[in-house]
Amino acid sequence: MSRESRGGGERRGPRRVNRLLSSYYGVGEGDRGDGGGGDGHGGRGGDPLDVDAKAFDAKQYVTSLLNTMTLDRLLDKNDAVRSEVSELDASMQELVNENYTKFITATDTVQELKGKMESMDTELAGLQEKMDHIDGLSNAIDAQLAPNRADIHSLATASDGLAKLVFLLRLPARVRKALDLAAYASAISSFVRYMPVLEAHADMPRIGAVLAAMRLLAEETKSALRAQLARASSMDELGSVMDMLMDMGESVDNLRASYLEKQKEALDARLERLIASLPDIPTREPGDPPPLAAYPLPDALDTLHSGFLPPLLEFAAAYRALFLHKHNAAGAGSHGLVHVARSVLVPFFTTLKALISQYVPTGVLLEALDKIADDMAVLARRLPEAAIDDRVDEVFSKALHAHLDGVFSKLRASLLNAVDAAARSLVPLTDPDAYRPALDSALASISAALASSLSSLRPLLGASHPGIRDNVALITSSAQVNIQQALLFIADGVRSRAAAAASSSALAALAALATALADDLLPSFIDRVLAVLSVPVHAAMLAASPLADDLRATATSLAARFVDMTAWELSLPWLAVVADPAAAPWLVTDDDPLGPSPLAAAVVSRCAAAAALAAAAFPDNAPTLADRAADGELVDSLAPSPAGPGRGRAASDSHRRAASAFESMTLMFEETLKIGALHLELRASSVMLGILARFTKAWVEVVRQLALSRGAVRQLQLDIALLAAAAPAWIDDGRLIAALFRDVQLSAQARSRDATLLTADDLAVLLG
Amino acid sequence: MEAGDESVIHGINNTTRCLTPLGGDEGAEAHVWAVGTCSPATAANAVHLVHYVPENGTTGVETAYTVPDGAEVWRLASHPGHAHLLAAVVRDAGEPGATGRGLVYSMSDLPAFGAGDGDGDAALQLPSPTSPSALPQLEQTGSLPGGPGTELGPVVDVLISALDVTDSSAAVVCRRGVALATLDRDGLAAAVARYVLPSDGNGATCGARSPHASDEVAVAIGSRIVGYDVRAQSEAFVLEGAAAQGGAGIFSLDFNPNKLYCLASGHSDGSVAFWDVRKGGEPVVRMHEHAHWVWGLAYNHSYDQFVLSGSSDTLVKLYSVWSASSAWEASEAGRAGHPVDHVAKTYEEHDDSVYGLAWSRGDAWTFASVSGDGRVAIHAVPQEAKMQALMT
Repeated sequence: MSRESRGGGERRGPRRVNRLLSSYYGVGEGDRGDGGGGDGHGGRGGDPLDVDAKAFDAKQYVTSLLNTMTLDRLLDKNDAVRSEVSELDASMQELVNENYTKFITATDTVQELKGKMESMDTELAGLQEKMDHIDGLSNAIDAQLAPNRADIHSLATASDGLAKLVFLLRLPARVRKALDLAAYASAISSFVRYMPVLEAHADMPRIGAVLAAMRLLAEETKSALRAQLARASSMDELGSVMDMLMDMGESVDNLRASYLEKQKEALDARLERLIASLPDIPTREPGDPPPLAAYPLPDALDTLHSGFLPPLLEFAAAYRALFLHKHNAAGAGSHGLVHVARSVLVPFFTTLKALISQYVPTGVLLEALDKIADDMAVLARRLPEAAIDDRVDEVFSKALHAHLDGVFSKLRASLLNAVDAAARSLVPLTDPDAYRPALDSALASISAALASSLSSLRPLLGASHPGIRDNVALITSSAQVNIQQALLFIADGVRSRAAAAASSSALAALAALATALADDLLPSFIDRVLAVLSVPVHAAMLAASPLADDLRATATSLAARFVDMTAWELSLPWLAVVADPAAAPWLVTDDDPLGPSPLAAAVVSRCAAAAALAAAAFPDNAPTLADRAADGELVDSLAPSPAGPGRGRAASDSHRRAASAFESMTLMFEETLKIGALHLELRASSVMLGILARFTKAWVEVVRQLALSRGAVRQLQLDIALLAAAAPAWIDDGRLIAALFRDVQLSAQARSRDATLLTADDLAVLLG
Repeated sequence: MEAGDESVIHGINNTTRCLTPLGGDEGAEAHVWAVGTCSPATAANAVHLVHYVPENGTTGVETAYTVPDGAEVWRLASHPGHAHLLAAVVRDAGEPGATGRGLVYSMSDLPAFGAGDGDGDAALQLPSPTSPSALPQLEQTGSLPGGPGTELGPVVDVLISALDVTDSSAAVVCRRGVALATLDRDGLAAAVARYVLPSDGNGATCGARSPHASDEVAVAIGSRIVGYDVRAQSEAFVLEGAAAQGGAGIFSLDFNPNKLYCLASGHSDGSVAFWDVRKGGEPVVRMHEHAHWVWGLAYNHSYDQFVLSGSSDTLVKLYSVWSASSAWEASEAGRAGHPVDHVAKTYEEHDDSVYGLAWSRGDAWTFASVSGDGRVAIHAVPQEAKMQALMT
């Protein structure tokens, strides 16, 4: 916040603030034109994204900010707006003060005005008097004209009644004419409107005769309509005739039954035609290899859906319009609709399942499932009565089973081919130089087959259909079974064919495969991959093959990857396999022999992580060590008196967690020692010292959070003695080791009320 | 500490892990901190009031209060309004098992922290607390929610904030939950709200209370930092995987007192991360300066670019972190004059792990640190850092 920059920001600030405030109070409008209107605020009244404009829309503004700005800029904007708000506050206060002064001046003016107003009052009173006189005159004129007006009104009413009577008497003739022209709708509207009127006045002789005639006509109309209903072909026509019949008072139930039957027949027939028009669906037993040509699933689905679903929905909508919304008198509700919909959907879903079980590439299948999910969602929304959710799930699960079966059959077939081909190409070769490329290509083709089936599975796992999500376990487990099989093929292939000849490029292919497996879904296969890999590496090393270095480099980098992937327990035995001075760069760096190498760094950070884990578990004062003492271990047998507070096996969850964390810390350390021991000659000692220092420091911090019993302190003393006895094997500075461990022991003693230590003799006995 | 930025050391003959500032008058002639001891050995634990008089550079124990039952004091929080009140996390001396409890103590006859004749000698003439029996004892006035055997689990940390003298509350961070309790003038505590953490195995390791929303408490659970609104019973924010790679634990948290949404966390890999919780995911800055676990963090309340960290590598670091401070300008132009983030000074006065850090209440440039061996060191912000903060 340098002064200069701040000044620059403020130069423009106050002017804008003043303008904002004056526009708020509606003052100084006239000044704007000659003021510094360079930034054109006057013309921006209509922009909803302009904070200062009248039409400013906060919601829209925020949305546009969210859409266009990065997070950082948004946050900056937030800060900027907040500071402007506080500036505005201050200026507003100032302005209020100024306005107060103006207000006082205004009060004086108002006082003056009040005097003038009083003189006006008398003049207004005169005006009022004159207006009253005019009003009286107008009332007198109105009263004189009133009788004439009543006469005119009664005459108009009589003429209206006569016109209506004439219309009623002519009604039968009109209806007759309509019937002759087959204009049933207008005839029916006459019945509906005028029959009640006629019935109400049936006691008048003329009207009675008209009513009788109308009744005859009504019967005629009904029979004509029934005839038309029998002939009706289109859905619209059917609906409209039925509509009219119902208006004429025909029974709704009868109509509905016949309507439903007709519609069901139509839908069934349509579906049958559609199914017949689909390409033939080949039958296939589970386990058969998929056919060469993929079934044209999208086209078939399209035909089926577009041919069947729209009429079904149309039918449902028409039914609802006819019977549910308009004539729901019988209260039968949607029962009939549900019945028909369900019965026509049965063959539909059967066909759909048959279609979806056809083997197609994964992408095509996913698209098809998408389409089905979309269409079914529409169907479920528009026709909820049909309750199709279960059916859809069934379709999805069927699709998935069939597809997995297809993918893995294909994988099995291609693996068998690849392995066979490899065997055929390898057997006759005796010349190693010719042999190696053959093995390479064989390995590569096996890897490729495996990778391709994996890649076909990947989109499936990423898909979001509920049916697939529920079945992920199924996918992975059947993938596991099949991939395991594939790896066994590879292992056999490699092992049986003089693996020493495998080149680093083949190994690299395998390594890539291993990482792909690990990255993806199946980290549990790393050990199997490693088992496969270790064969050629071992063989090459034993044979002192010139390839050994290549192999080891590949293997070491692979191990590094496993450390990264926290597959620690895997990388350790792996490193043991390739353990050799050649792996030295991994333990100590050339640039700085004392500095931490990648491995050392990994080990250190893992030690720290384990220790921190222990610390996180420990602060509840878990007397793990005391528990161990109570469990009848060495310390108690030597000094049976102290009753550790952990006695009674009241080990809570946190105690057990702490125990396992501490154990893993110790285990980790022992593993580290093993590696260190392997590289003693490589002056790993300094690296190990760094690790040890870090380890003991973490130990100190953990212990400091505990309260320890005497038994616990003794057990810890024993642990220390054991580690310290092992340490000189890989660190040659006994004094330093002792100092590091002494810190732990002192911390432990400080956290105990009663720290009686084991004597050196006791320790000697216990350590044997 | 005008005379050359030297640190001053005071020794307490006991194990210590925590301290908190007392007093509060700007420009007081002495700075005072309460330091708690946590030895399991005998019933000798006490809260020592350590003072420092800048004028003559002397330090001493103003007085000390023994803790009832000799309980170990693991965390302390002073009351900004009622100087005689202290909230503490205590454990029963030397007893294994989960015994962290939150208590409120009152200190009787509290001295008027060196605000008197001005020569500072009066304080020095007080009898040194040699025999525990001669010392006054803390009076327990209330107990806070949580503790062994309760649903919330053992208490980990306690944090007091006072909106004004009459309205104050304590936030209690427990292994399995967070609670709020009001405090009155007499030190009576009444629980008002609690939030039980979903039980997923990890317990809370440390906490911090937002100075901007007093119901909001940030808690470190495993490798996550989660902010809870205790009254609304909801999560205010979550920083997933806040711990750095390879550092599994978070041991300290503190909120930026002057900038909303910002807090700092100390990690087991020795790094200190500065967060803007709105940005989630990645910290604004991560400073990897320590070689071991970071146990303590403290923001300077006046100049929040200054942050202290203490670690079990025995070092205290003073960071000058402009990019995560309230002085950070939104505009590019405004940032031009900013110094880069750096460690302003490393203090090497301790020989043991540094667990507690606290700025003085009376002065923005003085702070104290405490290590496990009972050493309290009083330090100053170096002159050049001070000038830089005042000039920019």
